[in-house]
Amino acid sequence: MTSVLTVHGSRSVLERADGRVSTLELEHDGDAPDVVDGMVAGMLPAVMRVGGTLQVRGAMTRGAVRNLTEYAEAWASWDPDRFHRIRIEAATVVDGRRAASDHTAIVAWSGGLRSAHTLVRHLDGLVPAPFTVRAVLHVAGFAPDVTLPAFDVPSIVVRTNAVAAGLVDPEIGVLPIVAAALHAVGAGCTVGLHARRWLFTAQQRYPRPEPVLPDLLCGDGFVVRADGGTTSPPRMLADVRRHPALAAAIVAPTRGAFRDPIAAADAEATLADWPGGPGRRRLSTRVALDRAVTDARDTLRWLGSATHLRRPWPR
Amino acid sequence: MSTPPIHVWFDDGPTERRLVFEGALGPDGPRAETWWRLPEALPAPPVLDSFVCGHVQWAAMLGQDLVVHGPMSRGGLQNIGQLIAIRHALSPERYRRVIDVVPDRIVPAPRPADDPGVAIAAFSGGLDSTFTAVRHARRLIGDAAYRVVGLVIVLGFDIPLTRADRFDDVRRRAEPLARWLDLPLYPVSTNAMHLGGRAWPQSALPLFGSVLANFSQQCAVGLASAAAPYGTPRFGISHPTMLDALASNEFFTLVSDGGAFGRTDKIEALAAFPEALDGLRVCWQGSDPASNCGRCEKCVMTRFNFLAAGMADPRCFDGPLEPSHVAALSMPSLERVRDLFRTCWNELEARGTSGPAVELLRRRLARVPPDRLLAHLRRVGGVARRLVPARVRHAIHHRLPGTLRPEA
Repeated sequence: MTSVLTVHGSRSVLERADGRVSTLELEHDGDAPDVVDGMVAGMLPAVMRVGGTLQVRGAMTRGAVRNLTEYAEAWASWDPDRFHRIRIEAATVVDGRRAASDHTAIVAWSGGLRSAHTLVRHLDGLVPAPFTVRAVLHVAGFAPDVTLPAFDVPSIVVRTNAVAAGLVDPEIGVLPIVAAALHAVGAGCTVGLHARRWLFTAQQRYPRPEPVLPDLLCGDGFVVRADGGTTSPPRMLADVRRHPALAAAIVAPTRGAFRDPIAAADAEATLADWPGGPGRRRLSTRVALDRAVTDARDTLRWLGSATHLRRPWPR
Repeated sequence: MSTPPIHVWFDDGPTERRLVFEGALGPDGPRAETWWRLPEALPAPPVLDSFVCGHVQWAAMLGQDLVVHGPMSRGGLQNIGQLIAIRHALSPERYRRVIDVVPDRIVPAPRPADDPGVAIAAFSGGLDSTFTAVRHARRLIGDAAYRVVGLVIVLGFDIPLTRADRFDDVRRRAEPLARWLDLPLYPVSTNAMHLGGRAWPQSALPLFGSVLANFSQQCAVGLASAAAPYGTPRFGISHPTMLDALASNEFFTLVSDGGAFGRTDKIEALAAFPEALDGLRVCWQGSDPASNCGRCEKCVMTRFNFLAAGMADPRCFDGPLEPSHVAALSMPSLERVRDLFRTCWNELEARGTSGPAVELLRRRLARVPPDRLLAHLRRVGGVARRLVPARVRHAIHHRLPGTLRPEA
């Protein structure tokens, strides 16, 4: 079983082993990078659904081949009924390219609280050895579309057809596409930051939201890093309020923004009276409804895990 | 009053490196040191990130900041900051606060432009490290494999420094595999368990990183085998791959490998290489660290993994798995048999393995009492012990059938 990926600038075409053809477009004003690590990352979930070998007609760094192979292995280990290990064969494998250590980064911003916090904590130096933020990336094409506020740093918009093309995997989410956009833009940085979508404490409850992976959507020349996961939503909001324009642009998070029901409820309560927020009365009704739906979904998921994955876990 | 920091100094010798810690509170203080003894003179890395990272979790347990009198990189500091923040979020009772690591100078630490990007791998002789070494050295994953240039075997982690005599036996047992892979085997000894080991197993990979970083002038990457697979339902009790990756820095990348594979998967992957499987050393509890006792829990679990992979009588054990080995296992509560479920039972069941030993394991696992029941019984027992006078307790104990009575 072999899938073939061909990249033409900002457009890549995947001919899957099952016969389907998908096209991913990442439109932006800059030039395309000389290696196709990002495009492979963006298309990877579609290949992981069928398994087999992925032939890449283009150059990849050796680190990207290794990382993306492990990414597929990890998801296959997490959910073997849906994902499969794959073997990546690139036309050219580039050795010896290491990310320079200038400690600058481009930050992905979605309009949500988490990504705003990632941006603020590096701009304001709220973490040890913060990255120097050179640019902010917004990927347009995921719902809802947001208005970009005036950042202190340049902003770049990448438009994608990933949703329309069915390339956003329902289990994995938009991260591979965002990673592909970060790779595509680069903005002269060696690091692309995106916000982690759950708190680490959520990983201590069963069922866990998703596997905890190291930063595997990287190549040797460009590193895509997850950031955050240890700050509670009220603390995030307090930090973001230091930048009024950015804070005003936050879209009130829904439950999907945090893959942890407790953090999501916390965030919603924090943002209840925020412009664009749901308001406290509507919130309480919605939280009750959401809680019922989440409980039902988690129960079904747990039952699914218990039967499909054959894990008679004692707890 | 705030807690005073621990001051860290680095001392570099030709074949021995030391970190000296001054100002630690409690039994480890006020002055302690960690040393690494190397097989040959190796140039030190330009930054101390890897050596310090092995000890930050210990410092976080003490709640003391680290003031490092030496160079560190911004990338390393960023990773260490994340590591501590995450560990504190997961276990605030163990890691008391998010400590600061303050070096006296921050320097860039890029790899040389002509760096070949080769890797050095930690090797213990166990299944996980054998799998990692073989799959990269024999390029079982094609272009995704690192070019491994050596294996490092450590005295001071699973083999304590007091058993140095047996370490030679372990080394001799590992040498055929190293020869087969055409790789040199470097022995390194360290007392890092004394301080950094207080946070074991969470500090396991950062400590391995501190050993492998001694080779970082030649090797940009250190390979170590992952602990719990990605699919493990519980996160954070051991050393997950994601947190292990934070022991990397700008100069040296630590990669924990094989996290997507169960132990039976690894045996199946190595089944075509008897040279790899014949010398496996998985036993921690036997009297001889150079061989497998075949009876302890780890040995029995590994025997089951072999059985699930279709190998009933592997040559690294003295004989085949017998039901008596399963009968001798202690299974007091679900908490204690978690590993048996995870690394054995699930893999046996997934592969439809059967046999008398498997059937006995199934029956025994089905009867393991839940943790809550056991905790309740212990609590009731504790109350009874306080309420009933000792003389009466002894009298009851002596009248119980089968009780051994001391000789008069």
